[in-house]
Amino acid sequence: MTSDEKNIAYFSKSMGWNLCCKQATYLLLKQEEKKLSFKEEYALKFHMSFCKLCKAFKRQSEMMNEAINKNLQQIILMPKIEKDNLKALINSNLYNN
Amino acid sequence: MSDVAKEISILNPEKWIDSYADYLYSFAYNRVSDEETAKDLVQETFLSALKARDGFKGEASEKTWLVSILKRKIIDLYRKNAAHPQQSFEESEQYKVAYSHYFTELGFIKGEWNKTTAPKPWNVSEKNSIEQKEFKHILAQCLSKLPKVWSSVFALKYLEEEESENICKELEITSSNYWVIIHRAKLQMRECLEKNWIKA
Repeated sequence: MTSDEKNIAYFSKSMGWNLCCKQATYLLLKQEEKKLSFKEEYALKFHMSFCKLCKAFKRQSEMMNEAINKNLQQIILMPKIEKDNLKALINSNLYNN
Repeated sequence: MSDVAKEISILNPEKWIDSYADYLYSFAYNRVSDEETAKDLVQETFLSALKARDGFKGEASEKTWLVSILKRKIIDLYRKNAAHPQQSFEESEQYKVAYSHYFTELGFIKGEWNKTTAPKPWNVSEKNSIEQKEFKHILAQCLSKLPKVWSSVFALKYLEEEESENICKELEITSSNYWVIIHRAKLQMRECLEKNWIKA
C-alpha cells in the first residue's frame, strides 16, 4: 500500500465505511456514469485498494464497454434493393406533395 | 450582425439515400440486431424527416438531424419493449440470475464474491479483442439471455448521449431501480462473455 492508500484505509475504517464486494461492484458501475458522493467514493477507493476480484471486475467492465462501443460503430451496408425501394418511396413522397 | 452569413444547412432529400442510408442502417442495426427492424427504422426516419422538413432550421447538419430522428425512433422501440415485453413475467423471471449466484448471502461475511462465479482473469490478446465478428455474435447471444426490460436499459445506456436520468424517464423506472438493473445485467453479461467469448 502507498501512504495515500494507507490514509484512505485509516479514514474509511475509522468512519465505518466498509463495503462488501456486492456494494463495491454496484458503486463501480454507478461511477462509470456519475459522480459518487464523498463517502461512497472513499469507501470504494478503500475497498479497491485490496480487493483483487473487484479490481478484475472493474477492468473487465471497462473492456466490455470498449468492445460494445466499438461494435456499435461498425458499418454495415444496406442491401442495394432496399436502397432502391427507399429511393422510389422518397421520390414519390417528394413529388406528390 | 456581421456580413458573413452563418452557414445554414439545407436539405437535399434526393441525395439522402446515397449519402446516409448506410450510416443510418448501421446505426440502427448495431442497436437492434435485426435486419428487418433496422430497415423499417431507416424507412420511418426518412419518411418522418420528409414530413418535418419545413421545420428544419438548418442549425444542425443534415446528417445530425437525421440521426436525431432515428435515435428517437430507437428509444420509442426500446420503450415499447420495456412496457410490453414479449416475455411473460414468469419467463422474464427465469432469465434473471439471482444476486446469490454471484455473492454470498449467509455466514459471517455477506456480499463477498462466490468462488465459482467470481471474475477469472481474462487473457484477451489484442487479436482476440479485434475478432469483432465473433464478439458481435456472442454479445447478441448474451444480450438475448437477459430479461427484455434489462436489455432495453442496457442498450439505452450505450446509445450515445443518453444519460441515466433520461433513460429512467424514457422507460419509467426509478433511478435506484436503474442502477440495480445495470448492476445485475452487467454481472450476467460478464459471466456470459467469460464463458463464451474469452474461452472461445
